[in-house]
Amino acid sequence: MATRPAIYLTWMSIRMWARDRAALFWTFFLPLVIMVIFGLLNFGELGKVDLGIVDLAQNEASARFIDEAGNVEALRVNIGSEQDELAELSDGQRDLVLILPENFGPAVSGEGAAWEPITVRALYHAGRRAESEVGLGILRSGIDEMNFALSGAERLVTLESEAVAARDLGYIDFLMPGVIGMAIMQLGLFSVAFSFVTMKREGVLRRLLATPLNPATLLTAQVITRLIVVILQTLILAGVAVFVFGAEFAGNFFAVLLAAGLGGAVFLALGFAVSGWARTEQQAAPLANIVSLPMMFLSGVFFSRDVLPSILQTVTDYLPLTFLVEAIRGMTVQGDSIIAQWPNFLGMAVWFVIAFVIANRTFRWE
Amino acid sequence: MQIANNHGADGAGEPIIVVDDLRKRYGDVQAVDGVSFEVQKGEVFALLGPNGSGKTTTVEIIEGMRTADSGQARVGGIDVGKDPKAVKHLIGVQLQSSAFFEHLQLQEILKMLGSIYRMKVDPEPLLNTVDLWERRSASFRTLSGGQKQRFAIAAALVNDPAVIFLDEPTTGLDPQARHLMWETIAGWKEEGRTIVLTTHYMEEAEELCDRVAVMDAGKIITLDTPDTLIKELIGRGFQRDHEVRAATLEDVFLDLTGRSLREF
Repeated sequence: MATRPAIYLTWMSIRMWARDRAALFWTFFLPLVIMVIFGLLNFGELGKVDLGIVDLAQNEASARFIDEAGNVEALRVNIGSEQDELAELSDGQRDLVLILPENFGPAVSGEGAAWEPITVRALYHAGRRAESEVGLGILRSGIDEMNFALSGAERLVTLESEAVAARDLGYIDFLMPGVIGMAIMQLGLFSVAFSFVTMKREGVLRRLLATPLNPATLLTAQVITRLIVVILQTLILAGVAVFVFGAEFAGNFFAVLLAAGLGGAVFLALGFAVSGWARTEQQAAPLANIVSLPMMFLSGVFFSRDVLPSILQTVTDYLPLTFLVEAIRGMTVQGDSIIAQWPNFLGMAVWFVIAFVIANRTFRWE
Repeated sequence: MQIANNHGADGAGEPIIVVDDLRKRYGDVQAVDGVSFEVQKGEVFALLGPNGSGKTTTVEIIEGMRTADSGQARVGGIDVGKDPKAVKHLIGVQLQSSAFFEHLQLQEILKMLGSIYRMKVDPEPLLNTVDLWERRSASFRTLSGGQKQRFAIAAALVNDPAVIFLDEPTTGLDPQARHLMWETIAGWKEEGRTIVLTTHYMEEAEELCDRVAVMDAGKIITLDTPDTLIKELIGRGFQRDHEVRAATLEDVFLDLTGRSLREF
């Protein structure tokens, strides 16, 4: 049996933690449920352009056109009557409706026959500019291609584009790092804030003060326990995202765990700062929420910070959760190394120092 | 349990506790105002006094849990102000309201406390002393008030201390548990341990203590054996309002309900 206080205390605090059902719920169950729900809703599909096609021609040429459109990754093609599709458009179910006229196709039927000039009408949703623009762009270039092919003109200028992110990224790829970051934040802030305030209020810490225990030993045991939990949490969430939802995990696995550990240290230090200030759980809870809630919505956990107004984007650039989520996301999605992600690691390190100084000043045993 | 044979450090004949002119102020209140006393090895010593008289603060300074503004306290020859950790290794402490970690069993708490002293602790004899071995797998929170009190006593013993500090050890206990507590304290004395306690029960101090100190407003106003103090009072012509009877209501209570402990 280990009689070194640090080791034995760590072992006991792991046991305590594993028996704490509320802690297990908040750390493993809740983040997992959030990820599964958002993963199943699959907001990633929203990134596609909903294109409605009204096929008035109903011929070989129109069938080929629809087929080609269906092959475009960014488009989700629906076919329907003019009346239905326009209704869907005004309901916001379509971003764009394309009407292929009855004279779509060669004037005389048959392979290689010449086309008469025709007009294809596209109606777009005025409220969904971004998606409509993307869809219109794709259609324009498609129709240009057709023009070249049909007129046989020589192509003088060719745009050569190269795909950089070759991976097919979905919402789950965005979501996984976000939920991992959120779970680490909640664990760090709440588990420390609550357990230390409880121990302080009930007099557990005072009782330990009557023993020759080195305060640093107790803190070390508590921190190590929670860092182990952070690693477990990251493994479980990433495991479910990758193996159940097929999320991308491009970067180095240990680099991601290192980012998770550093993020865990930042939020544990913030948790100690909260628990130092608060005398009761009733004071700790709102304070921890004030710190965590804005970050949950502004640090790019569930949706990209691109949708925020630019001032808010600048402010949220410096939030600790932003650094953590973006470091993990850079690694899992782009396959970045720690070196490539150095600004985010630096950001976390700076926050750790700030939080540590505050915690050191506010922490009390009684 | 392990019976230590040589309790107390070798202070070359020095009393095991020496308190010299301790002072401690909290804001406007002079909680401890020049307290001095000595406790001999193997003695049972009580600090008596109304609430707020400064006895808990005094005891906590000697235990190394608080620092004095001035004055000195030595336990086993060690200056608490200079080396509180060394003193904490020598002593066992039961606080007025102790709490222990959640989600741990009683036996695990004792083992964990033992590890702080770098000692391997067998929880069975410790829990047997306070009749809690049956509840070894329970958590502290699920204990009744009296059981919590008793567990805190067991926790004070994990490091086989030479000096045991008990802050109101029998407050809230039923008469059966109180008498068991008294027997336990008498047993420690026989083992050669030194006991310093605070209490509000004068019959307890009279029954257990070799000497008592009475504190008021941060000062010790008298210090002697219970017998001497009582004789002095009678010598000054004091008479009780009621005649002294051969038995008390407590004797009646114990006669009716027996002496065995009720909760385990």
